[in-house]
Amino acid sequence: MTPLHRALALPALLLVVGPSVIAAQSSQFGIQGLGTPGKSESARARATGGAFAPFDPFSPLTDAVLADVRRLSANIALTTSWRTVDPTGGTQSSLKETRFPSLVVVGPLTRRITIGGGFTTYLDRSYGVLIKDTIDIGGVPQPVTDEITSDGAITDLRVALAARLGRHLTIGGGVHRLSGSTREVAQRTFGDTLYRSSTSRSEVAYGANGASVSVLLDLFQALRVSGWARSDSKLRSDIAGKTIAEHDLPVSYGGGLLWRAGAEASLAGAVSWNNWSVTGLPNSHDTFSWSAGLEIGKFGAPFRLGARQGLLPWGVGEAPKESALSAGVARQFSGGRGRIDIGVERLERTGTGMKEHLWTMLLGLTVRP
Amino acid sequence: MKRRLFSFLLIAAAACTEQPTAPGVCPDFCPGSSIQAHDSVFATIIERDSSFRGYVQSFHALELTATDVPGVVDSRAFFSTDTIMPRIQAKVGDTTTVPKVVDSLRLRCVIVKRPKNTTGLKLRVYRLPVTVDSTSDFASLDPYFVAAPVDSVDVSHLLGAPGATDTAVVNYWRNLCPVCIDSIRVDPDDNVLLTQIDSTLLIYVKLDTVQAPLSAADTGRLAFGWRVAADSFASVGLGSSESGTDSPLLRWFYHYTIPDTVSATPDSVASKDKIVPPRFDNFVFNPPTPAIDSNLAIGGVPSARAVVRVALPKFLHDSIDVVRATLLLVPANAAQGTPSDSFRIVAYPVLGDLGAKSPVNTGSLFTDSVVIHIGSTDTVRLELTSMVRAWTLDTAAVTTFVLLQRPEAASYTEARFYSSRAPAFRPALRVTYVTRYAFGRP
Repeated sequence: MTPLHRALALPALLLVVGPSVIAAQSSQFGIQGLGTPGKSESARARATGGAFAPFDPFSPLTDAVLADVRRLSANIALTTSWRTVDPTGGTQSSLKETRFPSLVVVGPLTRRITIGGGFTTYLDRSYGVLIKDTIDIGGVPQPVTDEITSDGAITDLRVALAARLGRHLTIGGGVHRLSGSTREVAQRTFGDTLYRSSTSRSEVAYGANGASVSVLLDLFQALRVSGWARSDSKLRSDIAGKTIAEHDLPVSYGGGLLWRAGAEASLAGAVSWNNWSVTGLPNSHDTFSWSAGLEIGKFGAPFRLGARQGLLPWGVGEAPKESALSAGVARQFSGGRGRIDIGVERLERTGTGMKEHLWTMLLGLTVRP
Repeated sequence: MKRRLFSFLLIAAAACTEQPTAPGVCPDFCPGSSIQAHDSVFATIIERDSSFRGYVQSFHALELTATDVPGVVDSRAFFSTDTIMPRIQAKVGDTTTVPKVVDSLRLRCVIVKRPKNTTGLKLRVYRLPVTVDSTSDFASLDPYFVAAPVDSVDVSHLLGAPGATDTAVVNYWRNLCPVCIDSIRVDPDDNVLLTQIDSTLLIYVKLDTVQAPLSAADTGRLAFGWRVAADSFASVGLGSSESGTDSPLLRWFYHYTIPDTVSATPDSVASKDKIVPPRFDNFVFNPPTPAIDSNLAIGGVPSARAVVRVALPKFLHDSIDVVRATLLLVPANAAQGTPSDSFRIVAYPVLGDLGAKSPVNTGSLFTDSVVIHIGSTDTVRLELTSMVRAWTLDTAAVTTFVLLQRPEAASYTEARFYSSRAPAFRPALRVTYVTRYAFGRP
């Protein structure tokens, strides 16, 4: 097996099995909506609060930035989250999940054109809720426990092209296929053992198509500006081939600014908008988010910091707020053929009736065979 | 290096452990759909229900019931023993025989069911003619049962007496079954009561040759009957030959003289014993089981079974998960007997609906049972959840079941329930079910 084969083996394997296991970190705020929106960011961009995502070719957010890659490369991200759910007046509980939020494979097609693709999480629909209640059966109160679980996600599969049109302008475009499924289980157990447990299982498949465009403008050698937009068709939910629901998906757009403040320091900021209210679901909200981050140190071993704040699309009353601080380091190895990114993120979500706190460990691996 | 690798694998394994479930905060942070349970009493889906008698005869039963409840029922058990030759071949190869001289006998019976709170429980043994068989009825045997008993054992007194302490006695009886015998009690007449670990009582009645003579004319056969007496609720269940290990037995102890025709030494005496199994056992009772009527009869002698058909609504087959199904039966009258005569009714699915001859699927996993309490007129609730769940999953399943007594024909007890021919009290099926969860909708 050649080094190229070895380098591509893991990404190839994840491309085959990945869509069934990938998902971003989930949230109780996503249970009543279509799911928790994923973050189209690599471990590197995530460690900078997402601010570097429009300028990071391994973050599946924009397409134009793929043109920065001049050799065949692949990047995979792994996250492990420890989440504390703190409902107002309720019992606090601790959850844990491990995800593969993104995979990007990119390489030059010609001198000016680069092609890339991969997957990322569009909406995470993994959750489990345990509901204790007492129901009336024939005039007799019966304690019951319901456990409703959903395991899966809607994955964004992307194929994108980026073209450098000149020294200052790069454009990109991509087509997206939203695909995925959730294995859902609804189980009721009764306190009285004369009643049998009831378990229903189903697998819900999702499908939609989308397109994205982006532009990257190098105003000066030290200053880059990025803009992007994306639109998707209706999201169709099927059970056993029968469509049970259709929902409009939001138009997304945003922009970013990167300033290279010297050979060993870069600062970036990004904003984005999503009009999730078009889904027509109750308690859906349009969202806006911003992020700022910096990367200092040598290219082979930088240190990263970042912060972000934004809104979540689903929540009772006002849109829940999400804010995070993150940090990370990276290290190149094998003469620059590989790079490992490690980071940590502290995230807090606050909405009516619920708070969530997360610690997320980020791990990214990039190989350039 | 190995330690680092091990630590990395340990951390990786710990990191991959998922815990996605949290207590639900409803309705704001729960799925939009919820699990819905419904409860319905289907009053008219039990149909074409009938009872038939004659499946098991009392002499095929696993138990023999002896009861004496004045004004209610008088039940008497009996058995006859197999042949024992009055002479024995004293020497191998010698065709001459010598007479057996009987020393004593031990009559064994096993009480498999008894009232635990009854005082003065006595078991009386009667001699019966050896001709007793399946045609013997209560009237024909009554003269023998009203005669003086040949022996009597005060079971309550023995149960209250201290256990035997003589190691020779204890070792002798415990050796019958070292792992089964819990305690040993002996009364002044040398009658023995062994309590087994499953609470059954083994009673060994000692008889002499006057009480149980060895009659060559009868080829050594004997027949005995049991009656029971108590201060109240006198009723016991005795193990029958069909039960196997709890069968009544008679053990003969005898000796004989071996004539010495060769040397000048005197004749020697040899002692032996022989256990003879029962040839026949049965019980008779008065009044006899009433005839079948329009109600559902279950039990009695010969045993009666009820064949019940269920017209399962179609909607129970579709997207429904049955979590409980209960058959509601209204007694037409209270079952008669003593409290310890309470019995079990079992519902078995059938392999095919052939009416009275429907083959019962006794190996089915979808059986359910209920205990019928003597004297109770409360509605009987028999759980049929397993069976109805199986029916909902298989639209081709035969939705017929049979109600029978367990053990069958072992007692005079019988349950009678109103059938579908009594509209106000007809059997009904109460079903609690969960409808299909609305997956895929936020």
